[in-house]
Amino acid sequence: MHLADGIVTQTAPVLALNVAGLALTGVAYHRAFRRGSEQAAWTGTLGAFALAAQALNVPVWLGTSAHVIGAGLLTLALGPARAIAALCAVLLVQALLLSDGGVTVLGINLLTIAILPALSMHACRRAFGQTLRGLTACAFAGTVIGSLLGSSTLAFVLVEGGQAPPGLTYGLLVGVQTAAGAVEGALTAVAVRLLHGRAPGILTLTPAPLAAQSGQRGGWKVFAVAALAVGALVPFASSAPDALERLVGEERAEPAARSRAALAEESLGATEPQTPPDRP
Amino acid sequence: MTRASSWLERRSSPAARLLSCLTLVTATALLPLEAHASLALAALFAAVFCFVTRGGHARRLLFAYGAVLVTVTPIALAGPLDGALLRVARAAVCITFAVAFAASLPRSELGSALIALGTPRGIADTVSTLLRQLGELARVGDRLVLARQLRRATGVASMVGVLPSLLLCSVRRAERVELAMNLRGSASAGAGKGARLRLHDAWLLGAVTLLVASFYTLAGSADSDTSDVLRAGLVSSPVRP
Repeated sequence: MHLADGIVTQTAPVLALNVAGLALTGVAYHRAFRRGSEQAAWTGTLGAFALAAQALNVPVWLGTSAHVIGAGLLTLALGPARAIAALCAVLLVQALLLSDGGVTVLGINLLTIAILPALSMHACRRAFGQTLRGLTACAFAGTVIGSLLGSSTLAFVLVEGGQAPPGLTYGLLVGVQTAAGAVEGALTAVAVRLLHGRAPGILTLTPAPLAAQSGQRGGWKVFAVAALAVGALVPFASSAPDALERLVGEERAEPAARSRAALAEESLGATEPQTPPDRP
Repeated sequence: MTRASSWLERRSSPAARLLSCLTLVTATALLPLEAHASLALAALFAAVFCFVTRGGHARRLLFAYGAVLVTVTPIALAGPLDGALLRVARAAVCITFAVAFAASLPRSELGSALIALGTPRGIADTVSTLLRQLGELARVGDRLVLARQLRRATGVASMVGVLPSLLLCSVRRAERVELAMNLRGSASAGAGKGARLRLHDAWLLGAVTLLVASFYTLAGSADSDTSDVLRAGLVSSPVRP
């Protein structure tokens, strides 16, 4: 689901989503590393787990295979803020070293692959509770909802910035990614059950106050930053038409202006008092 | 040809290479689709960079081009084909630049290059730790998969069992790494010093600036040509009364 550079044109809605993704990652970064960068060891090593886990492909159907993104397990183990920071590092490495995903659309990739899956998993965890059944249901539902939201956002970006046909794009992307999300959700749920039997402490590693704060005060900041980013970029959409629109507008306005001027001249000529000829 | 003998690697710092990569990829990605000459020039220079930083690019390039084709297929199926092809071309040039520069950037230098370019310390440290631990965790994952295959466990069930074991191994490793880093004092107090921009990077940054300027000069002239043609067509077309 990585979006590469150069496929979409940075129109105002695409740019707004890009900036919103980067801004939300900034908020998550400040929440994850507010006590300094000492926790980078934890975040980085579990980020390496996510990247290594993505190499484990599971054959699905007709030669296709699915792999875990790892956002679900990372969110359950690290909490949403540090999971987003870890996935940000994973996406940076993929974009800069593996050429998988673009740097000019990093905010969009962060939104679709890291932020929306992590936040949906966190919301499901708060909704379903910390029991084994709740964690299993949360692993499945959170992954499916995250895939659904991420693929819908990506389809919106392709329609807005890539002039893709809406019906086909939404149908194909959301359909395929939701099916893949269901497979990944089932894998994550089984992994959570196994993990709960072997090391239940890992699934409750996130300190409660941090989770509570990230869900309450952090939520307002997140929405405030996203609203500011969108609000700051919306005026550019209306006040800066592209060159072609401006040119066509000028060309349409010029004949009208010419015809108005001609009419004015004619009317002036009709009403203009004729000067009497000079008498000799 | 080994990585150490890469021509670009010997003549520039990692931060300069990373900055050049980001500049060229961003400039190409933001080129208008109508600027055919600029895209052609960018493709030519991307191929040259690929040659200069020669390494095992072919597999990575084919994989990335395939991913782009899959993404653009809906646009080509229902939209205008020429627009889709131009998008593929623009994305392919961006990928070629990225792959060419990535080959000249060793994994161990990415974190320090990010710090030298002003990336927040936490993210850069996370990237450095990730790259240090990735090889070991990948080896552990391979060993786990092999062990399950030797026990005749195949398919989905074997893969699912690998994930918790790998996560447990990662957590144990993370604890050890964190303890070691804390015992050493700071995480990366001196990181980035060796990778920062220097005077001898001026040639690379200057060349990249000239290249980007030429892209946009060509794009500007193409845009004005298009505008002239369009204007002529509109003026010569009969205006309805």
